Amino acid sequence: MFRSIRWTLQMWHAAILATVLIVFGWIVFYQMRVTTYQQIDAGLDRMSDVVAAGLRPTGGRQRRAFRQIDVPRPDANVANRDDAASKGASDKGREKADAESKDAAANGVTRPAPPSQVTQGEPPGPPPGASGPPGFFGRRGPRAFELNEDFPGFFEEELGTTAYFVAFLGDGHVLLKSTSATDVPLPEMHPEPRAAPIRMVRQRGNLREIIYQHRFYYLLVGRSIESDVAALHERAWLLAGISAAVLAAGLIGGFWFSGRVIKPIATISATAAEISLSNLSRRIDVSGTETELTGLARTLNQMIDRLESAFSQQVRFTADASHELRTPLAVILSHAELALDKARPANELRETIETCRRSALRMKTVVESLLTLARFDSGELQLDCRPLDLSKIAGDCVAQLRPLAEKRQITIDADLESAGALADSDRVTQVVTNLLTNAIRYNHDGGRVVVTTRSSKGEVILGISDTGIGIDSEHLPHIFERFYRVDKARSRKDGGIGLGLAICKSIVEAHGGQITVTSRPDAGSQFEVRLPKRGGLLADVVRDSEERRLEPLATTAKD
Amino acid sequence: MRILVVEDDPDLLFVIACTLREEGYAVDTAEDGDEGLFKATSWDYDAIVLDIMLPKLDGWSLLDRLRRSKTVPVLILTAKDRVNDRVRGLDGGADDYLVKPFELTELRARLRALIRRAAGKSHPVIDVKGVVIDTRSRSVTRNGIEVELTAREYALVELLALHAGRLVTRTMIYEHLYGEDDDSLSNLVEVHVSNVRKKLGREFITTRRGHGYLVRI
Repeated sequence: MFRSIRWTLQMWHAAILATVLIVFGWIVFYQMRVTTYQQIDAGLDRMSDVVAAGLRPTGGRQRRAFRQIDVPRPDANVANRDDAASKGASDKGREKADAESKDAAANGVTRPAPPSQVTQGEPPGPPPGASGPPGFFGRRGPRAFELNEDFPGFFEEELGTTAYFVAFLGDGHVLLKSTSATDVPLPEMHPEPRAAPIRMVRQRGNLREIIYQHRFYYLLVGRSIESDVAALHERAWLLAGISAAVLAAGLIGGFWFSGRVIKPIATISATAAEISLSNLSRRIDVSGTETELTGLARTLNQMIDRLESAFSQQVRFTADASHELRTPLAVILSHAELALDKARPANELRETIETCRRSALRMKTVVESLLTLARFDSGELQLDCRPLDLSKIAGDCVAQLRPLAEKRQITIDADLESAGALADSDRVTQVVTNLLTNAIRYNHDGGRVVVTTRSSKGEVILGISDTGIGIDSEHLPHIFERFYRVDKARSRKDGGIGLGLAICKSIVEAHGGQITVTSRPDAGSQFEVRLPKRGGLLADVVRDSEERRLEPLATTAKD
Repeated sequence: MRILVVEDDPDLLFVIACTLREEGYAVDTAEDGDEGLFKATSWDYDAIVLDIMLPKLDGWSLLDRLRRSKTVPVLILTAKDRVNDRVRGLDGGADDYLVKPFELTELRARLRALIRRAAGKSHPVIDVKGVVIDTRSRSVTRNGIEVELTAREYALVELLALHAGRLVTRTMIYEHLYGEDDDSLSNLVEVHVSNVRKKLGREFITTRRGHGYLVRI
C-alpha cells in the first residue's frame, strides 16, 4: 500500500506542531488566567486595606469625621430586626445558647437546653454574670465603631461603582457598606473566632468578592470582573488565532519544504526508469550539495556501472563466441568454393577436405565449450558428486600427459597426498587436465611442472605450478574470463580459444570451491584449486551409503 | 592489380590469397596487425582485404593509422555483424564490409568494384579505342573479337585502361603487377608490354621514354 513519505511527514509534522501549540497555548492561557485573577484579588486586597483604614472601632484616637456608632446589642433590638437581623438573631441565639452550654459545661452546671428555634421576640437573656453581651470576636467584642461617613463616597470616587464593600459582623449586622453594594448576600460566618484569619474568595457570576476577617468585623470587598474576564477571553482568542496562524504557516512551510526534499527522489526515479538495456550508459545526476539522496544516487550509479559492465561482458562474450564460430565456417565455405571453382588435382582436393575437417573439429570444440558454459550459467548442469580421491585423479592426468611433456624435456613432479572429497569425477578430471596441459604448453623446454594434492580442514587443495613464461600482471585479473587470450596468435596455433580457464572456473565454483593464480612474467605460474570436501552448489543428493564410504577415505588423510 | 590480405587465421588467409591469385591479382599476405600496417604503408596496393580481429595490432587501429597516409581502398572482413560494427567500420575509413562466412564470388566482385572506383571508373567495362576490357569476366575484346591474354598481360592491360589517359610509371607497374613473392627477374615489364602490343596493336600502348606507359583515350 503506497503511502507518500511527504504525506506522512506532513501528518506527523502537523500533529506535533498542533500538539505543541495546544499544550503551549493552554499553558500560556492558564498562566494568563491565574495572573489575571491574582491581579484582581490583589486589587481587592488593596481595596480592603483602603476600606479597613477608614473603619475602626472606638477606642482609638477619635477623628472628626468619624461618627460614633453604637452597634445595638442583639438582645436590645428584638422588635426592630430586619430579615437579615432575624437570621442573625437566630445565629446569636445559637451563639448564646452555645456559649451558655459551654459555660454550664465548664461550671458543671447543666441548664435546660435552649429552645431549638429562636423566634422573634424571644431572645434568650444573657446569662447572669456574663461580662458582656456575646460579641463577634469573643464575648468581649466591641460593639461600638467609628465610621468615617465620607468614606463610602471617597471609596466610590476612587474605585468606581463596579467595586463595593460591606463591613459586617458575624451576626449579620451591617456596619457600613458602599452604595454600590446592593443585594449583596452576606455569607454565613462562624461566630466563633478562628485560629487562622479568614480570607475567603467568593465569586457570584461576574462579581468577585473577598471576605476578610478583621479584628472586630468582617469585611466583604467585591467588584465586577466582567471586563477583566472579557479582556482575558479576548487575549485567549488572540492566542488561539496566532496559534492557528502559526500552525497554518508551519504546515504550508512544511509542505513546501518537504516537496523540495522529496523532489530529488522523483528525479532519481525518473532517471532510473529511463535507464534500460538500450541506454545503459545514462547516470543519475549527483551534482549539488551532498545529502543522503545524493549518496543514494551515487550508490545506484555504481550499481548501474556494475550492471553495464556485466552486460558488456555478455555482449563481448557473444561477439567473441560468434567470431570463434564464424571463422572456421568461413574457412570451410571458402575452401569448398575454391575447390569447386574449377577442376583441381586430387592432392589439392585432399588438402582442402583436410582443412575443412580441421575447421569443423575446431567448431566442435567451440560449440561444446560454449554449451558447457551456457549450461553452468543457467544452472542446468548437474554435478554428479561422488566420493573421489583427488590424488588419484591428479596421478592419472600426470601419467597421461607425461609423454607430451617429455617431448619438450619438461619434467612433472607429483607430490600427491590422499585427498578425499565429494565431487564430480569427470569435471574435476577436466580441470586437472586443462591446468596441467597449460603448465606444459606455456613452459620452457626443459622446464619443470609441480603437481600437489593436499587435504586440509574441510577442503582439498590442488596445486599446479610451472616454470614457464608466466602471466603479466595486466593480464592476470582477466585470465579466467571467457575468450580471454593473452597472446592470440600463439594460442590460435595451439588450438586454444580462451575458454579453458573459464570452464575450469565454472566447474570449481559449481562445487563451491575457488581457483586462484599467482604468476610473474618468466618466473612461471602457480594455480591453486580448493574444493570443499562435502560437495558443492549443484551437488546431487548422495546416497547415505556413499556418504558413509567417504568416512574411511577421510581418516586416511593427514588431517 | 596488387592486393594485400591481412588475416590471422592461416587457413582462411590461404584460401583468400589463393582465390585472388587465381583471379590474376598479385597477392601479399600478413598474419598480424603490425606486419599488415608495415606492408600497407610500404607499398601501393590497389586494395586491401583486412580482418578486424588481429593479434598485436587490431584492425581498427591499423585502419586509423593507414588512413593518415594512404587512400587505398580497404575491404573489411570480420565476424562482427551488428549494425554498429558495420557503421564503425565504414566510418572508420573502410570502403566496404564483408561478414564471415562469405562467399568468394562476392569478395571478388566487391574488390573489383573497389578497384574500379579507386581508378575513377564507374563502369565495369572499359572501352579504349575499340578495345573493350570487361573487368568482370577479365576478358578483352578487340573490335568484338575476344583476345586471349595471360594473367599478367590482362593485369597490365587492366591497369593501363583504368588509368587511361594518365601516365603509368614502370615503378607503378612493378608495384601493381607483382607481389612480394614474385620473382621479378622472369617478369620484365617490357616483355609484357611488347606481348600486349602484339595482341592488341602497337598503338594501344604509348611509351613515354624514361617515364612509363599509357593508353590514350
